[in-house]
Amino acid sequence: MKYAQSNIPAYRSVRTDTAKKEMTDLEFDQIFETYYKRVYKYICYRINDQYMAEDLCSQVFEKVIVKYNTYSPEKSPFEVWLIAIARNIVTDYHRSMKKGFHFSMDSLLDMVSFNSSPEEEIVSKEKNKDLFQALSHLREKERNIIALKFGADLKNSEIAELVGISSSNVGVVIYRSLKKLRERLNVRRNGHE
Amino acid sequence: MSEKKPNDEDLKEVQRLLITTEVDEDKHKEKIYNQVKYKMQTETLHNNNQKKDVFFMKKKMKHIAIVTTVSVCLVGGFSTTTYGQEMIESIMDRFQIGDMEVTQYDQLPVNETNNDENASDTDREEVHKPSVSLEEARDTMETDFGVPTQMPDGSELSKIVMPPQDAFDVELQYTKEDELVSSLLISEGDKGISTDEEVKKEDIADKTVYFVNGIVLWEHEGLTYELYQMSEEGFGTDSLEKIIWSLASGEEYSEAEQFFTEQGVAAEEIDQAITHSIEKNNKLKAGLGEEAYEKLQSGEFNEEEETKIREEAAEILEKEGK
Repeated sequence: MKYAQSNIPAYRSVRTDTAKKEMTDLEFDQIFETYYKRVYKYICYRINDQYMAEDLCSQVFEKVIVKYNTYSPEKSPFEVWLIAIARNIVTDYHRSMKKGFHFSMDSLLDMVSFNSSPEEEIVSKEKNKDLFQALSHLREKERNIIALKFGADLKNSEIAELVGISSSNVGVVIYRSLKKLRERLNVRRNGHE
Repeated sequence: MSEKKPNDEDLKEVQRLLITTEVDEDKHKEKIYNQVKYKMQTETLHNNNQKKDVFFMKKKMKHIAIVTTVSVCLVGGFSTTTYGQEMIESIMDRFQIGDMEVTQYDQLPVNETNNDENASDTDREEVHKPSVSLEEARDTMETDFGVPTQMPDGSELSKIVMPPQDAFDVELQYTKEDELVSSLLISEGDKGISTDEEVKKEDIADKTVYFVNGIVLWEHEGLTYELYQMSEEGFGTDSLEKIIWSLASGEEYSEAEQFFTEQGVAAEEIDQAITHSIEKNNKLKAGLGEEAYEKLQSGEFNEEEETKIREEAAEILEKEGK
């Protein structure tokens, strides 16, 4: 894969000036390398379609390039700005899917990877299937916050800024969502037994 | 079979699962990278996105216009909000309240949708919806949403309506002496309000409350609450505080009602007792945090936790004079 491999871990170490400018190839490579996994995982935690996740992820980075010169470091950290773009793209997608939303569990299963022994893969596959099914039972808002926390790896304060609620409220939603997921997972686990 | 109650270890396991689950991102990385890079290098990205922006914006504005026309019909011209498809004047600020986005403009564009003469029949039909019960509304929304146990102005919940085609909105109408005094809209899903007026923000009852175009907005347990007041004076901070602190889900209300009935509280005093109890619990929940509050309610904590939580709870109640 032809990435410009960089040791620069985060965006802010690359760009400290505030002048508006177009994104260079090198900057794109660094941003893509640094944030791709978080963006992709966030999208996967929010939607149930692997192929659409790929498409939406492309859209996010395209938008980041186009909107790059509007980013203002004083307003928010870069990762929050970038994940806000991802959030908006997923929201638009959900809006367009509202009439007749459907998903297949096979597509969910294709989404998760298994790099272990066949026996471990079966256990892991079941666990992941259960997790995605449990996620699909959360309300849209709860699922977004869980995806922001565990997919995009944002701090509670950053999520609060993005979602427009207090940090403590974010903590409450996460706690309540984890409880719901646990209950769902328990129900399914008991069902398997 | 008794249902297992989640403990901290259970929740940590779910957290671990969410953190460690791999979503096969490497399989798609190269394809996504190449797609975007190709568009970037061939400079096809800008044109495509500009087209998309216009499309999304038009779509968004249409959605906002529909939502607002309904709201404007509801408040009978109370709001001075205007909307238009030919927007993008100068955006001054954006506020997110739950799933509601408030956009503050320097100057709003001239538009037709705020004109009553142009309101479509479909929009008017929204106003005349059949009443449902709270239970039916909660069942339809699949959410045990919170409702004020009582309104400080003495008005009463007289009608609950839901748009037939939207299972994510409910409107509670409060009347006093047969006159509509206020209307509380509870909704889930994306909404928008545009304004060229000042957007005020206040911390009330542990919530950030926004005042936009005479509408009071706040977020509660993932839902957006919009309070439309028909009287000139509107609710003051103290009244809003009482309304928000008294929000109770159906389950919470039933539990409190059963408790006070069993305690033999007189029928004429039971509403007051429930309101006090719900307010106290909401204050404890806000002060202690959900986790500690639930431990306090269930009594499932170790000795060290118990002392700390009980002391904190006592402090909160003392501050409230309870």
